[in-house]
Amino acid sequence: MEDLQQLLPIIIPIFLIQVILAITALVHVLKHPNYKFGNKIMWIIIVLFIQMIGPIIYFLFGRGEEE
Amino acid sequence: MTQFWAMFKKENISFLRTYKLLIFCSVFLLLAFLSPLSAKFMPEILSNFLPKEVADSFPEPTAFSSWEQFFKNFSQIGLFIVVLLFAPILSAERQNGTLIILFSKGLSRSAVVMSKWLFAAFMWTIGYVISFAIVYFYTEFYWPANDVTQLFLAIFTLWLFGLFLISVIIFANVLFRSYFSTLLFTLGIIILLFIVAIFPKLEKISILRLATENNAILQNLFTWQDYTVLMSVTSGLSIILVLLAVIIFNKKTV
Repeated sequence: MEDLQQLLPIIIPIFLIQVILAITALVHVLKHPNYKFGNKIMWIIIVLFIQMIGPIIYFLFGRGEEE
Repeated sequence: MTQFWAMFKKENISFLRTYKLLIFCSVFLLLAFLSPLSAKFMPEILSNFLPKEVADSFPEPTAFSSWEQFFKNFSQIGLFIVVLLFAPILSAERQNGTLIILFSKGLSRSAVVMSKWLFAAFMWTIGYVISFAIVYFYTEFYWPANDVTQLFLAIFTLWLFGLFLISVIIFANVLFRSYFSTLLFTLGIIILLFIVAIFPKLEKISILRLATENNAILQNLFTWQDYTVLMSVTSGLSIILVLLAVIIFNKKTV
């Protein structure tokens, strides 16, 4: 357990970054229902369950144009 | 100059609004945090998969392992993200036709190209320096007594390679209008660099060395003298690419 405690200062920021990314992407998916492809449910699943890469793929390729 | 800084500010805002800043920051920060972590954890992960005798034969992780992970991450994923995010920096606006309005109001074309180059270089530098600071802090934290020398040279070469790549992207943006042509052109240049790296005679101008020899630098296999020619060649090429981009863009129809 001592090992884990030693690693906490580095695991917490990593965890925080992933949560922030996932939440920002989730809010965006819910608020802007226009996507380049796919539908809402698909993007929610991708954003929440594929760590890191899910939100990035959404913002780069899935996000539709603003109205 | 006013035009230049106005475009620079505009670039900042568009980076923020298209969520690219978010992606850029989170990827760079994550890579930075992961480097010392994976260096520290690697022996334990391996010991879960491999028989005990094999796992025990691995050396204990040191500060070198942490920097090794840092250079591996940034020369691959880090630069990949830079290319991915900055590839549409000019071509998107050319496709949309939004630049034409600004040009008709008298915006100088050189200011557009230069401000976009400076913005990309600025973001790369800031992201890189912050990630470096994080890795440095954690490496000192976990391995207080380390004998890593020549860190600055190793850091500097990869940074210079990033700047060269950004110049290539800007040049490609002027040549092509579409995102994928820009990506393909950049990929082509990188393949060319790999081909140059095959020939030992071209060692002095093989730009790829800047991004692949960082660990060797840390192990004191190279010094500043080994890189003076290569660094001048790289900086010279970058400047030529940007100047060419400005000249071509001045003559081209938007």
